[in-house]
Amino acid sequence: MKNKKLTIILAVVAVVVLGCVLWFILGGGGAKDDGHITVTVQDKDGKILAEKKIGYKEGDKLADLVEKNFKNVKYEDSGYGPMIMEIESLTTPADWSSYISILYNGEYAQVGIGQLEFKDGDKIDFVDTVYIPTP
Amino acid sequence: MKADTKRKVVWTAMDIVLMALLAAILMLQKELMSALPNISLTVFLILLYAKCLGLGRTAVIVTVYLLLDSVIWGSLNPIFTTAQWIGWMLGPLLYCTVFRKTEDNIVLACASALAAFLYCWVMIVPTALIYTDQIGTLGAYILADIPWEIVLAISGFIPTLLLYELLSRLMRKLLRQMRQI
Repeated sequence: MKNKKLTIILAVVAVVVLGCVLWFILGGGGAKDDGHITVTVQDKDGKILAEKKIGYKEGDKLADLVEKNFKNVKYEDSGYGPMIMEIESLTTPADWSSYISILYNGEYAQVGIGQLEFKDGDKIDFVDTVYIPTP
Repeated sequence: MKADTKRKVVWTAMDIVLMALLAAILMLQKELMSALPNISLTVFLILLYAKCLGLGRTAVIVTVYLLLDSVIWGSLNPIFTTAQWIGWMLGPLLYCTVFRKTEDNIVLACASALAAFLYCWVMIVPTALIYTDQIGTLGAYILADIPWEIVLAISGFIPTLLLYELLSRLMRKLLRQMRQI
């Protein structure tokens, strides 16, 4: 009886913690202040295909800003948040031989476009990247 | 004295069919739950299999599951798949040694959470260093991975807590009946 009570309490606590962690993972991101960011779209050789300085307000999400400011933007819901599949002339082929990577201030972003936090003056690049399988 | 020339049967055809079925269940639930972020019954089912079938049979099930999963998701390569196998097998190794005599659902739920963390920590090596080439940002990768590790651990903890007693009893009953056929 005591064990059953403890089981139920632990299960409820675990569900609450799971909800909080998922909210933290999937619900976060976006702008923490008002300002401007520079967003570029680059091909495999690093040639800039499109570049825009975008103004934003606190709470704005990068995915929404990109969709409003660039042509041919397509996302796919991966279950881990939106994944960018197309932007301007870049597309992700069906065989995934290349994909669109996100660089945040010159380094690979550690989270997806849905969770990326940014601030005034940041630079975000969408780069066509060849997938190189490991041996 | 005449030597016993009769060969000992390690696994019967029934055992092999059972392992194939359980691997298929493992695979199917993973596919069905693939839209959910890092949430699946994989940790719980591996615990259930290890406790009811033992380490050897669970190793076969995990191997078949991993090969199928890697082929479907295109992640089959010697380094990544080997690390996945080691990661997933740490759980059964724990359940069949340290927690061999434990049937308490709370203790086993904690053990399944520990196994989930161990799997994630093993996978840091191939994912961060080899697969995604993030050697320069390893610290950031490890930090970013913590919430996902917690999600996997809880997705093993809750079903073990709520379903282990019932399903292990049912599975052992079915196994006994199967062996009587």
